[in-house]
Amino acid sequence: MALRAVSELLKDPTSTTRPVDDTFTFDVDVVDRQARTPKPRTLQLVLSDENDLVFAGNSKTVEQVETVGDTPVHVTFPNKRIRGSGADLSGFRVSLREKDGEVLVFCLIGIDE
Amino acid sequence: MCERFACLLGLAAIAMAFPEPAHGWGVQDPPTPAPAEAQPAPAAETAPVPRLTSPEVQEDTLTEADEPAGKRNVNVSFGNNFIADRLPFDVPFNVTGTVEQTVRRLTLSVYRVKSDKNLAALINQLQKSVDCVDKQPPGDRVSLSSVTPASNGQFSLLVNPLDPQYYYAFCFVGATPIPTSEFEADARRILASVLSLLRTTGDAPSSLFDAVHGAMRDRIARLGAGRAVRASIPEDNMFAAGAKPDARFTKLAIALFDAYNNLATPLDNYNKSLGVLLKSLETARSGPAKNAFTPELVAQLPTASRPLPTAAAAVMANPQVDRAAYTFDGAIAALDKATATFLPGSPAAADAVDGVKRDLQEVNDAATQYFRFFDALHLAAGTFMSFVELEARAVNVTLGSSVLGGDLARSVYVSLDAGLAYPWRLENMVFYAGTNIYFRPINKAAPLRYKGSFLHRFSLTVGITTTVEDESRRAEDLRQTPNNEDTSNSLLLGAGIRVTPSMRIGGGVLVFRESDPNPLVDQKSVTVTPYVSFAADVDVARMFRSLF
Repeated sequence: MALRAVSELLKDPTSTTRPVDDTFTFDVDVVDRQARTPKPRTLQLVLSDENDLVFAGNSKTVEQVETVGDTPVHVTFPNKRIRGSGADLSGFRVSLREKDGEVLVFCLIGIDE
Repeated sequence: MCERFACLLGLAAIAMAFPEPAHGWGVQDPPTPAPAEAQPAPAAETAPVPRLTSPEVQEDTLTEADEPAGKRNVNVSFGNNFIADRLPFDVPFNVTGTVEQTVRRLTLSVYRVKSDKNLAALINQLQKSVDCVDKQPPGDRVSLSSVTPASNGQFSLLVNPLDPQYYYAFCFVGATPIPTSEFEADARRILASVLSLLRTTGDAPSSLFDAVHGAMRDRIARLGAGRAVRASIPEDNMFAAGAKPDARFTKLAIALFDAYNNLATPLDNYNKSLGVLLKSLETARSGPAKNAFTPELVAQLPTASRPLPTAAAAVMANPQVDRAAYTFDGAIAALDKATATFLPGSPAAADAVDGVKRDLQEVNDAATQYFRFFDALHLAAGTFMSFVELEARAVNVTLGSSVLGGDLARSVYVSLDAGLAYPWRLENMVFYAGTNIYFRPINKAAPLRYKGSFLHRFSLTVGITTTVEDESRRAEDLRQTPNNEDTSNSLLLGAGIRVTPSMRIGGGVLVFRESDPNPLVDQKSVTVTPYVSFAADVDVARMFRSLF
């Protein structure tokens, strides 16, 4: 069963300031063409291990269960708070993956000087 | 007169000490007012250059020195190598004129040498220069100013006060932008070559964007330097020498980062899905569903020999990619139709075709996703091009100085002097009128606070006085009139110092005749007595002009 992203991982807002303490909403379309029937899938947004940024609860990931079949579904991760110093970064990566799976798509959020 | 993309550079040598009168060559441009966009000079690039000064209003006198510097305009015509106006000295002034409208920035360097031989060497060096600075021209650069010409090409450049009795070369450098079309392909190749620097599986540290920016800046600089007519990056450009990544670059870099790194996943998915598709297709065509795969349908399916275009292609102006070759919606619709038309009642065949269709949809999804980021990368490349600018400077020297100011030709300056003198040991003060002789040219409009050296102030005075009267000393005038009916005169010899542009104090000796103190001796002798004076310099020429 191969979950695929079939759109960009859109973020809103597209940038933030340092230190980072902002709430973001992410949107993406995903599909599993091999899924003959829609099934619940656990999707994760993941922050890179190489920075000190975390989601709420000091977690590097946030999860959301979505029912995905062989037609694309739109997934929204609303109001995800991210905070941390963001030191030495021009931007940080937020990746989408299925839990314990490969990265499907990612986006870079800029940190304004 | 210029090369294709080159600027206009005119070099005019001004020999301020030449004795010839003012004259000109060619046709004079009509005087043009200084454009409002005129800007003061920037700091010198290499050698320290005297600060541009502007005289302030002097409250103690009302002379031309009170006029702001910008009021003096010297018009130049590049077309005729012509300087239309007399050059002032000891005061800042503006060089005005018109350049081609393509000139984005105009810089004027003024060099000073002591002799005409040095002037020839100076001009020779400047002719080899592309910016009036390199090749180390002899002489002292005494003024450097730069301006952005107005939209109609008019400009006004401020020049530092020039000393008379020197030779000057005026070296103009105009910089014109190079059309983007001239270097776009090369710049896009530069972008393609630095993309790999962005490859990372993690965040974008500041050092990463700094490195990418630096690589772009250096390679763009080399691109300009390698052109037949050398070009450089404009100072205010994002990629100018020494420029740091700013918010615009960060936005661009993030777009490049996102698009470039996101290409990897759909590319990998495409290749994997294509392998799976080709295998399931082979199985299906050898099984119960073989009749569904007509030659027409198979022709619409992807093949292993058609890889996706590279990231480097995305940054080219016209990627030349046949998108239709990677869109399989038609083949998917054909498989749907085949399933319904040819395979009723045959679940195995239907499953085989359905499997091919699902694999094909994955290939299609991967291709669509790939081109989504391919297009984003192409868009970012277009944005990058909007930030890249080059401008060229070139030398096109023709020497021609046509104007030599008459007042600059004088080695000394003579003015009239009128004032009041107080002679020692005489009973009365005397009025006198005389002549002041300076040992250098004097511009009365030059404020003494800026040009107040000893030679700017000091002069010798020769004058004649009104009647000298002192009975006790038996003083008589040197020149007496018959019956003493008219004013008689004595002689004044001395020196003075200007304390303001037109007011001076002085001292010296009054020469007069004196009777012998012995009343029995009827003899007169010429004698002297010291005096101090307070006087006003009078510009005779201006005074006479005001009368007519």
